[in-house]
Amino acid sequence: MVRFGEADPIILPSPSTIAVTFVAMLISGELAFHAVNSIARLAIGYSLAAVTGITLGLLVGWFRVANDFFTPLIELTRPISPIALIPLAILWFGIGLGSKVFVITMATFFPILLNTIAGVKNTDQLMIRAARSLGAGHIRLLLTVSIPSAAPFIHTGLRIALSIGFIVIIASEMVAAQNGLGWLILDSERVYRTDIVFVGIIAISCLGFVADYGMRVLGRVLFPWIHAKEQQNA
Amino acid sequence: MPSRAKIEICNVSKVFDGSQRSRTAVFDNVNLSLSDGEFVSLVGPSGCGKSTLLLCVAGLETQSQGKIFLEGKLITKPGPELAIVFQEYALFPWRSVIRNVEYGLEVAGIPAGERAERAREKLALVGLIGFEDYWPHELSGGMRQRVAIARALVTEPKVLLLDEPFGALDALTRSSLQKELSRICQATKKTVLFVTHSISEAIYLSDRIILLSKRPASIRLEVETKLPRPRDPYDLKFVALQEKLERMLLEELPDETKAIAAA
Repeated sequence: MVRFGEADPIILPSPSTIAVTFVAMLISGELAFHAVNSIARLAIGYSLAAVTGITLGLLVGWFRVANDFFTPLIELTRPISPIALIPLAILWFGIGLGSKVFVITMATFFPILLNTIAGVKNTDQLMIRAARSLGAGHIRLLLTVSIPSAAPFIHTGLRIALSIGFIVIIASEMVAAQNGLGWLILDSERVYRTDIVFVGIIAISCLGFVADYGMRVLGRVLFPWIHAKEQQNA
Repeated sequence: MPSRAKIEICNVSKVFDGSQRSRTAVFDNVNLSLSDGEFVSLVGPSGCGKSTLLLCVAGLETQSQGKIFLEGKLITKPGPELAIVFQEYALFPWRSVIRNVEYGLEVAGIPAGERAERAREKLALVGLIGFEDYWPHELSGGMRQRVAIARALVTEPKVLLLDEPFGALDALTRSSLQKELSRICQATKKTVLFVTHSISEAIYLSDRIILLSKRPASIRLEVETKLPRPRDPYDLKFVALQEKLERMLLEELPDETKAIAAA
């Protein structure tokens, strides 16, 4: 392997050391164990945020009453830093699954909610007119025009939220956990296993990349007309 | 109210209330009636409110004064009896061609099998058989507008309203679609209200042409075209009528430009 000078392996282990550790942890199943724990927490918190964020977003975006009631609440709670909530989450939900799910949900909820609201409100008035003139009523307009037209926005919100989720899961596992990639990274640093720190960083980055790539592919499959517009504009 | 007319527009005015100072009268005291099967064009300088008038007839805008009747019944809301086609097509990009056409039938609760059959029938009428499963973004502008016409016709509306439907198309596509529309209207005997700023398009298609003045628009002139169909835009009578109407329309223009500059 190529080496650029001699570095202290505690500060900067060589790429070959990291690679060997990576493969060893992959074979032993240790890496998978931590990754699966992180992903599971992320999946639960993210799904909760997606369901509640999209539902509330549709209501707020479409019904004036919901808009007037929830908008001040949203504006008030939105600036709260999810990372700052971690100690509270531990007090309220302990160091188990609950606190991590709470923090992930709080962090990923707002991008989903705000994009859903923006998507619904951005519905082309011309589409609304066309549907109304074909006899569609208020609820049908929401279901057959506003939701499909907001779908690409919702998808963008889900994508942003997912990348935030990957950041926040690591932070929350660093504060309180007995496993997971965030715990692995911090715990290895404490015992000077910098190579494992790097393995953890690489693993979480790869997972984040794969998840976002999956979301992008999903977007292209679900919304072919958006893709066509991008090509025309390019 | 009046009996025989398909559409009856009575003393209709529209004022846009911006703020206290910027009340804009769009059109003023328009009276017009369309008999069954008649093709009527509204022609006027751009911004004269002809599209707004069409939206009022469609029930998509409310007029400030006056009443509009469909077969003697007051129009209060939009519905499948009054189909409208927009310049920008307004197709649903997330639906395939056939599912776009089926939309009005879906709303009406028609079962899937019959829906597909009736939608295909209308696609055949506009010459788009074979394109059922295409996405709107895969079609040219002219084809998209054909889909929009099929979608408007699928609920068997009593009146077809078209708002500068060929305005965004190139000249060749435009003239071929004019021919198609003329044929479709002859075949279906629909009552049509057509908004355009093209005099020759209006003469080519209409039984009667309504020339509107600049804003606030009022009816300046009504002309029965009385030319035999299919019409030939190079026919002498056609050209003479076109010249006459274009001269009148031009008279409406200079002030209109001033009005826009002042606004």
